[in-house]
Amino acid sequence: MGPTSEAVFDALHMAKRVDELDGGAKESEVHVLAYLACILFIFDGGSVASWGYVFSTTSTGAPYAGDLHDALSNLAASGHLQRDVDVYRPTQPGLDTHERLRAGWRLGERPRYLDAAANTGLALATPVATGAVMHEPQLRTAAGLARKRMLLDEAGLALLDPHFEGLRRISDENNTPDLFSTAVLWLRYLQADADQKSTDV
Amino acid sequence: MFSFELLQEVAEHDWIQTIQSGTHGGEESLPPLLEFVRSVFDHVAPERLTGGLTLLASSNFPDALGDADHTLAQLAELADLPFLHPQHLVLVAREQGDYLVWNTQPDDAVLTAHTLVYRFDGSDHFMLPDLTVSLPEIPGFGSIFSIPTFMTLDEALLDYERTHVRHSGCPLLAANWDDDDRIVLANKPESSMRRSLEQYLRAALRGYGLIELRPEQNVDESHPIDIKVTWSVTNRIALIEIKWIGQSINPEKTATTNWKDPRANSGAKQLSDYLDSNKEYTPSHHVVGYLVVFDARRAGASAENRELSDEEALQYLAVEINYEPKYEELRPDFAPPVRLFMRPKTQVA
Amino acid sequence: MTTNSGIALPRPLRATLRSFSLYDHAPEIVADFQDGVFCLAGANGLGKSTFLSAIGFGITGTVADPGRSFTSAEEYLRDLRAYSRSAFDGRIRERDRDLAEIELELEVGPRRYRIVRNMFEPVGLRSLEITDRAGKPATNGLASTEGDRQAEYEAAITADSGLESFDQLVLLHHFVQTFDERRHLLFWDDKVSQAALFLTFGLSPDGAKQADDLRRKVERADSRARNHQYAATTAQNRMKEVAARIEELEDGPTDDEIVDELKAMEAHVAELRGILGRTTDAYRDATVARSEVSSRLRQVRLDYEVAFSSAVFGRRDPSTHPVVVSILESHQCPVCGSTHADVTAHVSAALDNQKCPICLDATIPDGTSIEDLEELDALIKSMDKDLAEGDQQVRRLLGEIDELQEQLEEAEKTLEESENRHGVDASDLGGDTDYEALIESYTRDIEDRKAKKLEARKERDKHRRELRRLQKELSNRYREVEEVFVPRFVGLAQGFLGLDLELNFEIKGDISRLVLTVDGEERRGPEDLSESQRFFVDIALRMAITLQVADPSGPPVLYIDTPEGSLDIAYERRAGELFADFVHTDASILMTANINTSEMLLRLAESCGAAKMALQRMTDWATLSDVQEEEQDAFDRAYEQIEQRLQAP
Repeated sequence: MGPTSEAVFDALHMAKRVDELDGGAKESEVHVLAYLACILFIFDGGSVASWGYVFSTTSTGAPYAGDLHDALSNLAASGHLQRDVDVYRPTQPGLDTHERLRAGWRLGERPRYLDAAANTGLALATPVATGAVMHEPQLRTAAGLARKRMLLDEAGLALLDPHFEGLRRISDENNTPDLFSTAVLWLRYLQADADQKSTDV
Repeated sequence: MFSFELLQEVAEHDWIQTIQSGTHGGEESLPPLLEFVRSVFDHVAPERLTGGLTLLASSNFPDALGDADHTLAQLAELADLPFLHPQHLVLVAREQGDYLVWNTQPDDAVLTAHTLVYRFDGSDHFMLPDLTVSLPEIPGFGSIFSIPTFMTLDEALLDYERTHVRHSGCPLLAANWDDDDRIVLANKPESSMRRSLEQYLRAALRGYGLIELRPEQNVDESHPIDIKVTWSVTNRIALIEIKWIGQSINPEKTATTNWKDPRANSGAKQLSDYLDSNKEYTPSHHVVGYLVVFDARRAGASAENRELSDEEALQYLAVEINYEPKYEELRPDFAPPVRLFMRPKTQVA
Repeated sequence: MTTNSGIALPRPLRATLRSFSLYDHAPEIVADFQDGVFCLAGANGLGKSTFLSAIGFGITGTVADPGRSFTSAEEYLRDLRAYSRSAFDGRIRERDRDLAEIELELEVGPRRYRIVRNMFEPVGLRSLEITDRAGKPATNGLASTEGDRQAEYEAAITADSGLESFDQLVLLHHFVQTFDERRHLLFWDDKVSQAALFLTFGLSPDGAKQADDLRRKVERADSRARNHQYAATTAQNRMKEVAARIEELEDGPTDDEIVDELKAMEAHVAELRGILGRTTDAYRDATVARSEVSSRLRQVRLDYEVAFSSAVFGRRDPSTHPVVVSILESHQCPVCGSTHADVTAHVSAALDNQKCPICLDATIPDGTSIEDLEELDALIKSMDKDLAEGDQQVRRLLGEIDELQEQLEEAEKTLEESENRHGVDASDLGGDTDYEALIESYTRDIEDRKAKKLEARKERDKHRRELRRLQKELSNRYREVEEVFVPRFVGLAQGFLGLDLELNFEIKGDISRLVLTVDGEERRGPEDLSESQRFFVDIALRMAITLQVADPSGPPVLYIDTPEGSLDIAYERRAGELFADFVHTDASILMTANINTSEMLLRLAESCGAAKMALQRMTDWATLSDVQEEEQDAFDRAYEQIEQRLQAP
């Protein structure tokens, strides 16, 4: 079985969106931003089971989806993406396919989350945004273990709950219900928290 | 542990929260405007926009502002932007994909009543009807939206030299001199250099997994690595060893420590030894060592003498460091050393 | 001497079903009922019977419950309403629940009615218009709620049909006018039969109600007398036990009113249990249906993945393949590394000829297109919707079950409390038992019970005398109409049976009934006739009765659901003739029939002609199953045959 349709679409969409914003998408950026999109989907009431593929950590504590990796490879091999080492850019056939898939019902809802995640780079610069995701609580606990582990399982989601609750409070108080500003705020928080911890040492 | 207090504090300083909170439901307009701002700076460097810039992304820009007399141009694409040299540029991105340009600054109240407005006047602002949100300045860059990013460490280091080191554009480096003319470095300048490079990489290097800075107190020479950059998907690790050469003042400000080529050479050997000793711990990773040398050499400078001629001050501008051995030729995991020359303030800067 | 009872039975002129999901061919189904026969014909399982149920529901707000035995018209109506609320569950999609409704135009005596009723609302009308035959409004139109309109409707239609109460209209509709093989047969259900007889031959509808009440009173008084006797006997036994120093004592109810009250409570509990059971069944069905959709959806999702992979990765345009692009750019063969001008030329030539530059002759494989994917996408979307609807239904039913369970618990608790309050619980007498006092109390109780038993018997006998008087009146009345009624029935039934028939009226105890004699032998038990005979004799009796009551206020209507169910082939033609005979008296039949057994329909069609019979194809309303679809030709032939007969001179 190849990568799921969701993973193929996300890989294509993320490569396209990050390319629009920054010129080319690093494979790791696709993994990290799709992971952020998945968390925003859960924050928005979605269930992790319906996301379409799963994330685990690499041995260095970064989010990684095997399906996304396969999707990028297949999309490159089939001429939908152009690959330069680990940087991907959509080709015209890739953009055409993306357009068609996006119009469908099954995949058409996903850009809402994928874009909210990728757009954080507009406010923070993409490296800052992806770097901040690495301080997400599950990844941070995983980084110390130096081995792969599943993300967004029940224990993982429990770690996110207080974050979600806090973010909802703020977005209620500030009247900022959009996913984009919530995502940016959360990344800023994760970075601030990490900075605080590193100066505490 | 999650801290709501910290989140609240972060939210208070988050300009996105301030803008979104002020637009009352116009939240969807911000990302397209930000994208527009970014693409304008892709074509015109902020430094060139001396007359300032006003940007709007609007689907139905009001006719009242479309006064034909002041319409400078209708642009099909932003690549044509550098050919315009007006005092103050007002750009509207229209839904149909083209752009309208004005060279007079319209009444802000009229603009903000209609849509969210971006203003650049040396720094970044967003304007709402009764509120102007000014963004924090990012040292080394004209606008927060003009920070370039780089796919590789080598490209990033080249840009770092140009934007941050050459004229001490990075405030950490600017404050790292003992004199205004940037002749003698402050006491113990290493930590500022490390933090300067780390901060830059965090913002400009694409696709890294982790960037780790060696803690201050860990000065053990057997752990010489200052910055460790880990890429997760490609299993690459860059170990950056930072050295400086030139003179730095002692705490009493009576004399200087003067490091020359041998200092850089000992850094290269430490890095090489470290790469050897750590190979077995990271067998599955592709590790490359980088020696980065901040070069503040000045001919004829001392604790007492800071009055140098331009020739003296710039004598080492093009003088490469002589490495023996040349590790980059002996081992594939040793990158060619990078010299970052820190220029003094001179007439010919 | 009059020969009729002057009851005007409601006569449907037109029925309109909206958002009736079972009939999925149109959002709105309209059926016009001309004089004579309206026959909805089609294969099994498409919902023919539901059509008659829907009309009955429109008129009465009730659907007959085949499992319910008849007690009295009033109680029957009350219990039926609770049952009918969910009668169309499963026939109407969850999302259509609010939309599904029936609009009926009726003629009742001097007036015309137009009513609209939601298919899940037994006691409310969405719309009510009553006019006289000239079209002049006959209502004040003040009723503003569905419940008010229902009340106004019940009062008006009861009056216009010349009945005493709405429950009598319901009784006539379900037990006399409607025939289906699952229902009670008039000849062989004494209680129904008596109630119907009183309505048919009684001096007035009022008399029928009185007789109904009296029979219930006799039953109740008799049951009370028996209860008292039982209590007295029990007390006597207990007294003996007490005398033998046995501690535990028990007693029965103490009062006539209480007996009734407890029985009513018990009946209420039983009714709730029944509804709970049916709702639980519906819940189970909905759960099964939901998981079926869910597993089908899983399969379609897999199909989507396969199609997706094929659509996105299957068919490749060779000119966009990285290897080909690199050849065209570098002019170097990626396989052997050599560089010729020919390398590029070969590749370009192949591409120009729409061929793959590697395999040349092979045509480029055609995979799934994105259009196929879009189809699956739409399918998943609709199935997702179905699934959500299924979830909603399951949740609703769960909610109803919870509520019913609560009601049931409450009812059980009330019953138990009442039992405890009225009973003489042994524990009340425990402790320092004063045995003499106890025996004295028992003695008093026994005497009291015996006295009450006598009273109850007296009361029973009083009611019975009254009932006897009514029965006698009924008997007299029957004698008066017998000479019209009996020949009418015999004429209809004998033609069908081909045997000598006699019909007699008999009063047996508290029950008055009609007794059928076939070839000189009484056929009292249902087993005395074959099923076909039984059904059609019963239909003939209904015909005779409705003709009797409706004369001369207007020709009557019968509702007959798939009468040919178990018809011997020998009787098919005769059945057709029986119906034709009835229709030729100006009466009407709304019927359903299976298109497979058409001899009955052929004969009926032949006799009626297009002027007196309309054939409605079920296939115009609802989708056939796959198997039925395959037999579509056979159905079409059968329809055509019938239609030919209709058109024959």
